[in-house]
Amino acid sequence: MFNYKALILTCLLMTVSVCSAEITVAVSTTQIYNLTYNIAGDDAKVLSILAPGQDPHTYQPVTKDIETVQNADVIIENGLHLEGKNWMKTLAEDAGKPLITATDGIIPLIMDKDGTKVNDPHAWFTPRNAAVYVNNIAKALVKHDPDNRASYISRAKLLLASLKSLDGWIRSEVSVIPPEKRVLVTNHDAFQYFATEYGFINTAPIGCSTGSEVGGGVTPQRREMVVNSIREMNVRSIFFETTINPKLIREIAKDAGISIGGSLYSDSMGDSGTPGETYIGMMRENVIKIVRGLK
Amino acid sequence: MRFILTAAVWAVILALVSFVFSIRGMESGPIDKEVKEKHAEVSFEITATFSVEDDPFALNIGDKKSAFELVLDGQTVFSAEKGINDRVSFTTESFELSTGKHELFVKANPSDTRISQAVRVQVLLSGNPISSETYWFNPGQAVNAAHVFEVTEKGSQNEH
Ligand SMILES: [Zn+2]
Repeated sequence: MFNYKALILTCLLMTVSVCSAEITVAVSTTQIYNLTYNIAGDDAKVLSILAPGQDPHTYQPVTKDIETVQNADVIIENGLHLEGKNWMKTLAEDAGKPLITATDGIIPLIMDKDGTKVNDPHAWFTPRNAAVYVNNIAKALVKHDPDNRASYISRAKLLLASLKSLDGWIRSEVSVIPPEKRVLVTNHDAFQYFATEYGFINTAPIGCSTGSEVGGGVTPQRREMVVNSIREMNVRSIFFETTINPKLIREIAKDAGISIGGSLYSDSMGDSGTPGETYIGMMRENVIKIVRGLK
Repeated sequence: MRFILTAAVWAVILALVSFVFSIRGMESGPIDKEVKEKHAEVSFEITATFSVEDDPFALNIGDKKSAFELVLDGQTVFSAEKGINDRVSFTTESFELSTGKHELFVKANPSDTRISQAVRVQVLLSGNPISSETYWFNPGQAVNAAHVFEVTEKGSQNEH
């Protein structure tokens, strides 16, 4: 006998599942994850390929990442070659899906990579650039899920207002550091956008990508240049980064006879429960450490 | 008899009331008309400590908000996306305003969040300044200034 009850129940379940269908967004980095999560709210599921602490320059995708991208409705990368060997682009191409680049519209700073001029990918380090990320992410969500347009727009506006006030806060905090002491020495050139925006001189022994550390290490010339800069500029402290081994920075600090100002969040945000688990928390924590170390 | 007396009293009261209202109407009618017809040519000179450019923290989806707006008595009378320069005064077109109180509301989003910002509003009656006020805002704060002024027969008075 035909089971009508089962048929009705199945139809009901299908209706419920269609009504509650949310889009899935796959993003490459933890910074993009946090910005997207704030815009998506409960209306979309956001998955990050990188976990807190993982390095986007050297990351090599695993099988689970292929599935994540294949099952996603929206795929977002940082771009500007942050994802070493364009791994997020490759994942999207293999899945036959379009890719959104969060840095679209940002005028990139140029950096020197072994004598070659390349675009600096660490664009999220100013709230102004983060606002471009927010615009690109919000546009992508609205396009793929127009039913929740109003919610995405109102969350994005709230996030942009927070970024604007973060920008004002950073300017007021760094103003206590005398201009001649605004020299930011870190492991690799992740802070060029931050330094340019807030009037710092930025120097780093590794260069623009941590990949070079894995490949051939730091050149003796570059290391010597950093030590000399520290001495000439009378720098008070230097900083290491949460995703990179602090050994090199410790050695440089010892050579130059200065202290270490602590660890800064650079290519990855912090674990849950740490101040660096959100974009705004990460920026605030970095600024607090920089100001304390240099003023 | 009592009914006729009550009706007569009511008739007298109604006649008196209508007489009083008709006299007041004759007195106030032409005066109201005269007040409504009194207008002044008012323009505004605005000086800001910031330049107006696209707000880097704006959401560029849907309706785009103006970076600088003047709202006179609830009506937007001037808006600009760009072209307003730091410390360079500009004067709006003239508006015909009746005598009485008016409000000019200045809305702006200075993109430079590094310093405190200010906007000065000067009310000009037939080209002559008659009231002026400078409004200051903290770094990163949106500019929202309500300048209330009064246009009298003699000129305008600042309410701040
Ligand atoms: Zn990096």
